[in-house]
Amino acid sequence: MSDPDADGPPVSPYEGLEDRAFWRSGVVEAGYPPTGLYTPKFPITREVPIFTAGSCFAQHVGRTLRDNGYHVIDAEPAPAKVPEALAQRHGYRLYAARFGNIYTVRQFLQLMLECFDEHQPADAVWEREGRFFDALRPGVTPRGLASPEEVRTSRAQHLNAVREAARQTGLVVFTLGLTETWEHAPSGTIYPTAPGTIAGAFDPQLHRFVNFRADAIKADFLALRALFQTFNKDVRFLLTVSPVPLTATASGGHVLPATIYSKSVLRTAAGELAEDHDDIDYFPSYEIVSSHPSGGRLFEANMRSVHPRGVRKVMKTFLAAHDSADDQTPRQIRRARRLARLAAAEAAQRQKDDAAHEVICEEQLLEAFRK
Amino acid sequence: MTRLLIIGSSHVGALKNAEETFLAGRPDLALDFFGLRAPAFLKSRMDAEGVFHPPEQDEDGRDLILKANGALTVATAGYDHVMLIGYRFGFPEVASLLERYDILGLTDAGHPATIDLVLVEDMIDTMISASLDDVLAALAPANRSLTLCLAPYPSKSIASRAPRMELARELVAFWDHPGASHVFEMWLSRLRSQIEAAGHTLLEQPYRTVAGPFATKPMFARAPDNFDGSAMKGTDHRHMNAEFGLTVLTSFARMIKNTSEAPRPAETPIKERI
Repeated sequence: MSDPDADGPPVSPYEGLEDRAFWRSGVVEAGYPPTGLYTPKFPITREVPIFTAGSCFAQHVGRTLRDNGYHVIDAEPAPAKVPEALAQRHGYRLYAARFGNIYTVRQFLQLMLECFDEHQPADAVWEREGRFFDALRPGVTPRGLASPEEVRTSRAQHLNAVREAARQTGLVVFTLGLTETWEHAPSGTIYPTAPGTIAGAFDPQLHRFVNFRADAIKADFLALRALFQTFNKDVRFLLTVSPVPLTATASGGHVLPATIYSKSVLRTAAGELAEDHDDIDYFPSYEIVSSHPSGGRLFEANMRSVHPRGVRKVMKTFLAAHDSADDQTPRQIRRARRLARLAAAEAAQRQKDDAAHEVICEEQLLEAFRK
Repeated sequence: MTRLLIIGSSHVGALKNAEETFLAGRPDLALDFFGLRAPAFLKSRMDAEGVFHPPEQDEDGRDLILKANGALTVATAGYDHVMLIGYRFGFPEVASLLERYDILGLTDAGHPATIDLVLVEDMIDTMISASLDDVLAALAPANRSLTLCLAPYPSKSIASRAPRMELARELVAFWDHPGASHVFEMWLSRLRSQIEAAGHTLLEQPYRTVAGPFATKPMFARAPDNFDGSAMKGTDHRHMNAEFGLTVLTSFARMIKNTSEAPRPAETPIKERI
């Protein structure tokens, strides 16, 4: 009911909104990416220990945070003098521990449950030409290991490292990558790559295609959140969605609508989680790279890999938002700058090796199976 | 008369100071040296005529080379055999892998973490390639077979510097590691193969000087010599003395004798194979 004492006619609820709320002023007449695209729900200081994980694109996020002086956890470090590209080829210096790409929330959840002895992966050792691979992270040992026992020993050490990383965590930055994945049907074990892609063998009687829906993703994420909260009840979460399209779909449809569907589901899940929980934020890296105002210019010629320009725009937006939201004392700012300078020097060293900037992405292997 | 030329970093000093002893009783051999600082040595190149050129030097660098050698460059064409000494080919970096890690399936020394053997292999290949490729490219224009000799392995006595010196600390950990011999042999074998594939020869450190994997007996590190023939102040545990130099020269001479002729030139020009 309108207030009979108010002056003038009723106003539209859109009246008085900021420029960013309108397409013309917020996008068409703004630079790209537009300012005000992202307002952090909570500050991320350079002191908070950050656990990074996710699909290939998450590697850019972790690297940029590290290079800018943020406290990015590395609980399973490579020997110090291993060159960057070599370390990354062996799964080091990519994420909080050496778990490789985590494409689905279910995969992430199962990893954490395994750390708590609440999940035992099935068919956890894959073989190829006499070498043995950890089925849950087959990409981190490029030529496999000598025996299944070595795989199991290595995994036990890895789980210790993941637990240690989780124990330290103040913020989880997770990039949701895929909805489509492969499952060991009897046990529900989720693999990061289809059996037979890097190692192992695909058995249609045993392995089942899964295309997660938003509700399942949200439920998995909330279970994951609860596990992190057992270590730190104040832990926070920052979600992003990878802009990288599917290399291939097993859904039976065309890869383009399958990609849009998959990303829409992930975006929905991330958006609803962020709307419903104060400790979960969403950062729009997917929108910056993939939405039509970017005109596809932030992808490489294959229209799949994100161009370094795209990565820069994404991370610049992120850093600008958090640097302004970071309520630091002058001393803290000086320290952050000093750390950033050191990180930049290390980054410059890494840049000497071009390969160090390649993203390690098992999904690309699927392309080899195209013909 | 067989003419030998030794070119190298400061480690030339140990060989140069053994010259007189070495040549006594070897009237069929003639020996010349060309030494320069390690950073310059590692960036030097040979031209198509076989002239060895240090990189551009500042005045001090030029003065040092002139003082030690009497010339800024050296022509290798007139020599029957040329040996270059002073390379490490990335082994200290490889050794550092074992400082805090066991090798999965190979050692159990109680380290909190492991690395797998494939990473060790890849690290060895990366380190050798990063250094050897540049060396071979710099030497390729001369298109002749050369003998490459490693810098002396550090003396075991370097352990005394471990509390304050990174290399010493890493080497002590390496020497104590049960996987040390395996890793060292793997590195040496791959290095030898790659050098031979390029048409050159690797002269390994003489056995009698070796105290273990990548380690020299301390007796050879006492009273070491500079490349200009002067004595070094104290023991730095990396430079060796004339007795060591004599052993290396003897080993070089034996290698030459065993091959009887000059090392066979590569069948195809080195330049084309790189």
